[in-house]
Amino acid sequence: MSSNARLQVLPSRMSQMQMKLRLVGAKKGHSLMKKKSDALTMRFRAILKDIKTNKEGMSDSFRKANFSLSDAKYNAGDISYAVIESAKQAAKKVRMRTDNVAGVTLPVFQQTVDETASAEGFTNISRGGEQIRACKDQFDELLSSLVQLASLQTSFVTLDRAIKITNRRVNALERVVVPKIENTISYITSELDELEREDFFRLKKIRNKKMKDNLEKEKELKQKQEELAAKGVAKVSKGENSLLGSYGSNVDEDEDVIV
Amino acid sequence: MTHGNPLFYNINDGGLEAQVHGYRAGLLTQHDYNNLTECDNLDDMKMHLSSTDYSNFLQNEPSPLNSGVITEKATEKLVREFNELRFHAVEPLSTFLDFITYEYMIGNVLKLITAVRNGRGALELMYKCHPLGMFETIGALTAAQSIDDMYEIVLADSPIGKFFTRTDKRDFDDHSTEEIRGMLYKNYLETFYDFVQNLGGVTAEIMGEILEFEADRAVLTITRQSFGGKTTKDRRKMLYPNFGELADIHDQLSDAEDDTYLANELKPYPLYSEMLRQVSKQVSLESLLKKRAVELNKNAFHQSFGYGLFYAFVKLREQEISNLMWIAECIKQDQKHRVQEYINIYE
Repeated sequence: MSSNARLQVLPSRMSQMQMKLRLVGAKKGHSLMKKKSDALTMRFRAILKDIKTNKEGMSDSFRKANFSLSDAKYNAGDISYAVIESAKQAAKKVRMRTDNVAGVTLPVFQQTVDETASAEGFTNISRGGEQIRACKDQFDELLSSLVQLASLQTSFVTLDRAIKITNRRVNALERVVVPKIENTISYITSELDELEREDFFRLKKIRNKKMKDNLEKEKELKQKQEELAAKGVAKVSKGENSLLGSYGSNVDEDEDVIV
Repeated sequence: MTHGNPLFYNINDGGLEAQVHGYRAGLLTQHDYNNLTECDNLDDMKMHLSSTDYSNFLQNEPSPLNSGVITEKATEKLVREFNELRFHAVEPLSTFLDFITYEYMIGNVLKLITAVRNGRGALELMYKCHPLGMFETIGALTAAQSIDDMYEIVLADSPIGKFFTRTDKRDFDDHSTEEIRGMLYKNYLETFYDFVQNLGGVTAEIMGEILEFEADRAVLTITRQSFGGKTTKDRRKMLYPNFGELADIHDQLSDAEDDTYLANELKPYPLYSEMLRQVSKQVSLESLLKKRAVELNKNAFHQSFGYGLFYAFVKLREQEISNLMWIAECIKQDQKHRVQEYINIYE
């Protein structure tokens, strides 16, 4: 973007006022956007931290859960068929609600447990029930931390996008819009000054022209007087006085003439 | 009665007993276990196992092994050995060996029942059945559309039909599969117990002890697993086998709702109250009971002229397969600190 880009406007007092208003608006917008971006970034960092701790714990929980499954298998034999057969309906479901951070809606997943659908039936009375229950608990725990992680990850992505957009806007305001308006304002100011100077010059020219004209008239008059003097001296001296006097008074009366 | 009389025992059963003793010598020793627990991956395990009685049972398996394959192959070996015994056995040992397989049959049939109950084709579950629990007509079960059909057509005439007839047929609708399993297992234990008592002699002595323990084990497990009111008192009692050391306090046990109460009731039985006392977060009752079972099974080899050792061998081998699975899982999942939790068979 060239540094002297400006908006297409007619340089006038009115557009100057408009531009000044726009500049104030743009600056306000910039500071607000900056604040929003800061708020988002803060949240972003917090989420990042959460994700990190969560993920670090994850591999451990996975290992534990899988191992508890081995434990259950060791004690109760192959339970997979019983689990598969007894599972009919999801006991745990994920519900989504939204969270609002500085105008950005973030999805938050919540786990809901449907107790009636929970398949407890087969675990109980026979051998290895204890281990199967422990295994179930482990996987429950794992599932809820997975849901939490999913929620964090989704927020992370959404926030990331929102932050990028906001930053782009902040930068656009700071680097493009504000300089453009400023350029326009300085352009208008300079144009207005130019106009003023032109006017001044014009007036000066007019005055000079008028003065020249007067001098010529005077000369003519003098010549006439001299001619007349040749005829009769007394009459001319009177006329000369009046002509000079009238010029002097003319200067005082004409307001446009700047000396 | 010829059975139990040392004079005639060896005529029919001596050879097989010698063979079982041979098999027993093939069980992994402490030394083998030490080697196995030191392995870094499953291929190392395979190598160590090849120097034991398992020899080259994993020879044809492609390299990324998993515990499932090891278990499967080891079970195949057990089945092979068992069938060898079964084919050479004559009455009453053959019936005794059949009794051992009934337990697995019950498990298989229940798998199929669960499948039918859930409207799933039972065929896909067939391959998951325990090979020791296969009987000729089990394939026909897959054709049944409902559990009543299953019972009428197949189960009534199958080897384990007798366990079903002792429970009310209506049980199918009223009870969960797990409860049916409990009842069948109870009937199985009771029938088996009667059978060995009728045989008399050393068999009755050794098997009596083992089965009584199994009954008590079932009672304790059922009681402890049903804490929290999920199984009512009557149903609980219905699942208790009617013999064993704890038979006298079944009524009280069916009331138990927590460990304190249970411990109080078990006071007159030092063995079980001691076990319950040892239970902690690291040690489950399950593993203590298992250890005790292994102990009893080992004792069965100390006496001759009885059938106890046939049963004991199958159980010990089964435990050994579980142990192999445990060690394999520990190695595979990098949980070496828990690898020592297998149940030692021969110290």
